[in-house]
Amino acid sequence: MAEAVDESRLVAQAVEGDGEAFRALVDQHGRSVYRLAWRMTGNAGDAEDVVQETFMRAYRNLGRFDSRAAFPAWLHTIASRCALDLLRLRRRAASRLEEVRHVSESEQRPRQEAQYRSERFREEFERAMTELSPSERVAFVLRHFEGRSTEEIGRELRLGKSASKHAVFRAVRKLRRALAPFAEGLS
Amino acid sequence: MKHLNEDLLTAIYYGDAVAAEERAHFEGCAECRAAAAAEAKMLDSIRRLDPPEPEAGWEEGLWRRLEWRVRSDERRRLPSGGWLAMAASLVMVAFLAGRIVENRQVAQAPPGAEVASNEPAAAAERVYVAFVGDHLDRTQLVLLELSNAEASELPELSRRADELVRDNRLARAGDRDPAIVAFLDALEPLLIELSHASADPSAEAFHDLRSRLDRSSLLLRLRVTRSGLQERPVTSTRSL
Repeated sequence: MAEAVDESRLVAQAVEGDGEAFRALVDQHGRSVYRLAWRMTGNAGDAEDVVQETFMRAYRNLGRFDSRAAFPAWLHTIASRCALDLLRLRRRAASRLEEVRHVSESEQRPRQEAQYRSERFREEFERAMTELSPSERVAFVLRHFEGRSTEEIGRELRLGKSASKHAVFRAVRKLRRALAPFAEGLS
Repeated sequence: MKHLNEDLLTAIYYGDAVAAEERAHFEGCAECRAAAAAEAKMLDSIRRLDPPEPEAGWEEGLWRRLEWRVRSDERRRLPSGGWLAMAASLVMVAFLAGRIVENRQVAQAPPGAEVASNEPAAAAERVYVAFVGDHLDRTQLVLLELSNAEASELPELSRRADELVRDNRLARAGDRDPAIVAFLDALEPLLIELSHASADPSAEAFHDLRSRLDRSSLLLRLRVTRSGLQERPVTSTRSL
């Protein structure tokens, strides 16, 4: 509760132009925005860009923030839109380079079977996420990791309720197909 | 009744509403429950995959990157922003005048002679790089918003594009890097059209602008130009 009071005070001070208050908000929430951005973009460079853009958009729109709402949820909504913008931009680029991760035989250390399976699962998941469309990817992250309802996702991404629901379904279908061979044996 | 399809299994996993008939089938069907358990196992495994944590002190670096933009935003947000914007433009004009003098000094100096006082030129270069960086950041934001906005947001984007046209010309006048000049040249027609769009805020005009942006590679080029600018060494005596 004290944290919430403190946070709303920081937001109020930041709205008044207090740069230090805004910095405190960046310190408090930077990592959670980064984690969300990383899940949506799949790499550190793009996640960093999304975090920066999120805080700049937040800063510019602090006056519109409804103090009855949760500040982290508001930030995450902005981050989702920034990530979606970036993913769409990337998708439009015809010269997009495919990242191919080669792990040579010599680099593979003997690993415990369970650890190996778990690492393969992660690699395949990250690869499969790159195959999703921007809206599928962002909708899935919001549904799966952030626990947002399809109505909320629709509002946040300016998609219809049905479109956001089917974006999640399509994402899960694609992930299921890609991950089924690797899910066996996972604890 | 047929077994539940994949999407219904997903809906059940997330606790979404499903029809009573489907729910009843699910409760009584071992095959569907087994499929749902496999689905849950996969999705639970995904949930346990944590993204890599940024290193200790990461927030410090994040703030360093944000601070300059926040400060320049603060200056723009002040109520007397009109004269402040004019002051920023005057700084740029003074910078441009300084460049002309500097170029003349370089041109008139005898061969082998050092042009004195490199420091002020280096400082002016830093001012210029900061100005262009800010211009590119604001342009990126406007173009991204154009790319995702509703037609009703066009007048606001148009107003911001009007400022960008002015700054684009100042930035172009001051640069000698052909790559940046070429990019600013390519950018200007779209900014001008966007700045005039408030006269015709129709959905058709909006979609036309947006499809022009989509067809161009301006946003990608902007990102490349922006990162090139960040890496640019600040030199004080460059030839034209």
